[in-house]
Amino acid sequence: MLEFFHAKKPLFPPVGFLCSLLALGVGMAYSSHLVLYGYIAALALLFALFGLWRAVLGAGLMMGCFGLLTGVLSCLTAGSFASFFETLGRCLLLGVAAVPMLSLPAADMTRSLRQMKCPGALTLGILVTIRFIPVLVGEVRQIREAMKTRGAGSAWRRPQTIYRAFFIPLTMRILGISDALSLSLETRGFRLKNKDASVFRPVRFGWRDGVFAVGTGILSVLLGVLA
Amino acid sequence: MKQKNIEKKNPFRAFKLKDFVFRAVLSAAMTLAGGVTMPLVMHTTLFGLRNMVASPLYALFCAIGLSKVRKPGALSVIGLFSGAPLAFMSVVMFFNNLVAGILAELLMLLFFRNYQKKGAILFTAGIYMPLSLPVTLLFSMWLNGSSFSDLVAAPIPAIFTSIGTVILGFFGAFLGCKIAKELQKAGKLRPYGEDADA
Amino acid sequence: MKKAVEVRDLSFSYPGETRKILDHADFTLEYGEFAVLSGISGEGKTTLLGLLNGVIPFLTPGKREGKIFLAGEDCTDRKAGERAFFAGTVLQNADEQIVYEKAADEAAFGCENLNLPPEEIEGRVDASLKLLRIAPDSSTRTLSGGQKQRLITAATLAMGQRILFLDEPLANLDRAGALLLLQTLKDLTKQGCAVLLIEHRLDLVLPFADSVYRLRQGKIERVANVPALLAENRRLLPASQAQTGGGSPLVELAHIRYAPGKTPLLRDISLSVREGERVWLLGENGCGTTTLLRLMARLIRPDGGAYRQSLLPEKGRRPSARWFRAAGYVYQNPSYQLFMPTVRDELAVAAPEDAYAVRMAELFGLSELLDRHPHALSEGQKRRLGIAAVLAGQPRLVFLDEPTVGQDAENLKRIGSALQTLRQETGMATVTVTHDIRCAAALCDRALLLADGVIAAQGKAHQAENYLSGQPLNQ
Repeated sequence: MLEFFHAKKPLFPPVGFLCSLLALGVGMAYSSHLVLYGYIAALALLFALFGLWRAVLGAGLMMGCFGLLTGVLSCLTAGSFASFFETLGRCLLLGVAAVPMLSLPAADMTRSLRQMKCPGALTLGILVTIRFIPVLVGEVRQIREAMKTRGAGSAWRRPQTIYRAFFIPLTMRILGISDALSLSLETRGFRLKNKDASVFRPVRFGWRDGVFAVGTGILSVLLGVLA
Repeated sequence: MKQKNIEKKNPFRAFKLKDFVFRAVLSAAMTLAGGVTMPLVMHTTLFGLRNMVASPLYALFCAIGLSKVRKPGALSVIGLFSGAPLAFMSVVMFFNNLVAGILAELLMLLFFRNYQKKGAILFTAGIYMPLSLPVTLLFSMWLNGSSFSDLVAAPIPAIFTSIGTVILGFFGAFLGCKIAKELQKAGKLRPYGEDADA
Repeated sequence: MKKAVEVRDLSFSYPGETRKILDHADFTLEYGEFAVLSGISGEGKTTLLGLLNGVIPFLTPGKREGKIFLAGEDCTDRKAGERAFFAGTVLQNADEQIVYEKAADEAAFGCENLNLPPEEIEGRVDASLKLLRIAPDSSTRTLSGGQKQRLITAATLAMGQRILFLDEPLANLDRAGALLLLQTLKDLTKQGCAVLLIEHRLDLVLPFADSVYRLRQGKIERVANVPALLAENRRLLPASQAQTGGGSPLVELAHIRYAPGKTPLLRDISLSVREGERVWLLGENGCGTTTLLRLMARLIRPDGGAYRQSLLPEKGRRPSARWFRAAGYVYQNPSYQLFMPTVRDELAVAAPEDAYAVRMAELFGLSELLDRHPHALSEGQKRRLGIAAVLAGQPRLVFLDEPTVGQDAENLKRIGSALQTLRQETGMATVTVTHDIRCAAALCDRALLLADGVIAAQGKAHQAENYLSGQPLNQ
């Protein structure tokens, strides 16, 4: 579902994660200064230049709309325009700070974790969680349809029926899916204590990642100086 | 007798692959539930409303997960897995989920020692989302530019949503335990967890 | 020379059951042999596979005795993850097994677990994906059901084991996809691999198989007379009186079009279902039979054409709860539709009174299970309960998606008899999607073959039998 935002040449995952944290942390510290907008714009430009433009556009649009709405509410609550700009700025910061991670395929992230000798079960679990969200969306659709066929689709006067007709099949399907997946993983040789498992297409740190990190760092320092 | 034998064993029993896989799929369901409920209230600046709305569903799934895998560390792993998709969108939300899971389990170990009693599951699943409130509070204050004194000056809405989060959390946990009991009747869950006969 | 698979004196029963699935059974599979294990669901084929690949008893419990050798090594006490070094397994339900976003990553997963060097994995992945015609960069989310099945097969082939176990791998494949896979497996056996395939579509598999086995009374027997087995697997239900037409149309479709993606799945469908009629929808996997069934049941809306129904006066385009009482829909997977705490309660949801619910239980062989939890039943029992629970509402028209999967001969007869009885009592019409040749004569008045998005041919019950045996429908 986040595939649209993935970059053609993703960053080295730890660099993406750390830059995301850095941008968020530094931005949060100076979030009440108007120079934050300049920081956000500069970061967005830097990220776009490194090929993460889809994530920049997506996150910018989403958080921009969210920020406008929240900003208006903030302004009405606090009674000042400054509050609007501060809230909008913070929302945009959240969006732009998420860009390095948003542009990263989950497989690359888990590969780098495995290269750092993170337990296979945890990396596999993260992959499974992300991968099975759309599968469960499909399951929920099927269940809701099945509820209609049994007359439980719109039984709002009987909430117990709706609760049973939805949660019992959903839980059974979650159990069934996890059993089937466990079997498949075991028969494909996955073992919890296999520390020597290979990594297909390992992710490596390159000069591009270094330049990206340095760029983010310089912009963060500049924010601190100018604020 | 079976319950006493289990309690005598080391509470930190090793997880099996199927334990991880089940919790991963369950975490996907939790993330989906959050994705459905969050857009309803994400525009509001009212502290704790998002937690309150997500609380019952998160607690429900946690209760089911803990009923099946009754090992310390289970909720922390659920917190890690359910936070992972959020890490790609907001690192703060990832830490929020993870920290809440760890805190809930530490409290469980303090009060109950293990998950063998139903009360332990109910407590841990119910308290999971409320424990994310402190981090949410700090984050919310930063996002809206309000200070702690602003909150203290008008505490009613925050108190309402916090209490609501706790109540709905325990309600969701209660429903989750009911579903788990049904799964036992259907033979899909063992009365004392997956490896109770080990 | 070492045998690929050797089973000595193997016995197995599930916990709490006295019936032994395997009773001092022996079996050998040679390298270069393409063996098929055939039979209907419930006989123990998947159980045998589970015993061979280590799933049983380490993941699925049970009482096991005897010895299992893979590639000459005693693997009796080795778990599934360790046996994977010797033998690869392809399971059903590909969608529940894929963990990566890209096909190449998924195909490489097994190789990573075998600790193969990355450079070697790259070559194996390319080769296996090319063999099964999957683009390495494809997104796994957008693959069709058949492509997903081919992907997980490719993932197992990439692991390079010389022994392969496959459990119903043709389930989601169309004929072309099935033949591609079977040819690939045949080529592997010519290179010295051993293949054991569980499959009930013998007509497709036989030209490739070297040997056919079946389970009988706990023993694994090599079938000497394959044509006799084929005949035995066919008509099990006696022919019933056909509806000769004349009933008023309940549902009419005129030039219906449906396109879930860019390519239309249903291009120009015109048909009607009359009172008391029994219609079968036939077609290759992925051709749209279930989609057409759902469209007729108003679970989805067409993109073009006209839909008329005379079952109920309905306002608005959305079907009401009353519609689903008049037009029942039975899912292929009963787990979606069962949610009450007991079988009795499940039947009582739609039944007009308790006595009718009990009668439905008797008709479908569920009388002794009334107080059991629906999800504690076997798959075959659940399927019968799913059908009974919908029919308890006395619908005038029923849509059935693969209702006979998992039924042994006795229960198949029971379902057939129940449907006949209800049809005689209520004039119920049925529209069924199935590939089950065993009940064609008993449950079909008219067969419609769906191909390329249109009704390509129509025929009677005996012609449906011919089609399911591999001949054209009109023959």
